Amino acid sequence: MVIGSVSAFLIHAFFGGGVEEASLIFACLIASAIGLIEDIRGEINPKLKPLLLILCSIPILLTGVFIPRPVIPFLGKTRLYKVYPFMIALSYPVVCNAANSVDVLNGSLISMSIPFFAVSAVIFYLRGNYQMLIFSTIFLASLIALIPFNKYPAKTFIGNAGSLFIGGAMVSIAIMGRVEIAAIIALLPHIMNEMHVIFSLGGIKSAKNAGRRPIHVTNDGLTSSTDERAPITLLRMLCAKTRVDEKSAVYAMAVVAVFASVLALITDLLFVEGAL
Amino acid sequence: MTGLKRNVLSVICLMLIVWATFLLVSYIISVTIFYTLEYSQRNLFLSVVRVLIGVSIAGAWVVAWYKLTKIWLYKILLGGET
Repeated sequence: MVIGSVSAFLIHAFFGGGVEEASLIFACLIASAIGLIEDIRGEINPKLKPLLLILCSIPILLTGVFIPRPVIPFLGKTRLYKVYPFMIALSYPVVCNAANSVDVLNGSLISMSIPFFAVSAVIFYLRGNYQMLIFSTIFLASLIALIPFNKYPAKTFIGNAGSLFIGGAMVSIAIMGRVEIAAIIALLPHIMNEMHVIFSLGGIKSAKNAGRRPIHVTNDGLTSSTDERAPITLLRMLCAKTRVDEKSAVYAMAVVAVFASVLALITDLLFVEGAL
Repeated sequence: MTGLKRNVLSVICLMLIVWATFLLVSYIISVTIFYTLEYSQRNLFLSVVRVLIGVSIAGAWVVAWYKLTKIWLYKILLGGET
């Protein structure tokens, strides 16, 4: 996936690309490198990891491929000249960790990420922003190509290197393509998952040290923990009071992601496009 | 309706509420606080106030979202089992 995306961006850059491709792909590669370190050396300190992920924002900030005037529904075009760079820096750890947190089952992150890139591609097409449309489509294509290998029972695992790469791609697309609000709405399930784990654990801590597991895995499938001290996750909500096989659980997670992406499209069309 | 379908529908309803409150909060601050600040004389202090208010409201929305999810999980989805 990483090699496929980078190759596609290099080919595009060869035919007249520029600084946008370079900053986008470097942001994603920094995220992926951090994930690779985690894959090889084991879990990075949960307080250090967000700080490292801030590094992903450097290519975007240095090249200035952003407009610090996000359109917020009803508020219109805001002027966030001073604050926006800080928001960019913070958005990488938030979304990369959110993407990482939904990578819990075979194919779960892939199936929850495809709707985001699909809806961003639709928005760019409607805006006539063909450069960003190409960028979204490259990520979309590389994710679709991975489905046969990553779906249950998976033959290939994307690891932290892959999940952080996808998170980095999502943030970069949202910032460079000016789809910040649509991205927040489309990523509600991902953000909800990560945020609720942090709240449940009472801070940024390793979920492995949570003590109580949100999901019980048995031979019959997955079922939700009823312990109020266990972390709240999207999967736990979907498995409440029922026993679900892994394939159906991933399908359910994808349905939630598709719904969030439809809401994102509605939000963009009704409340953002007119103000751009 | 199977348990999984019921849960998916329930999570979708939660998403819908979270989305609607996001729009509602956005609308309320656009016609109250931000309207006042946008039409005042522009200076650094007002810019800082504007950002602080925005961040505080976003933070409150996130906390409310978490509280709502907790209620949703323990009272609706797992109702009676905890």
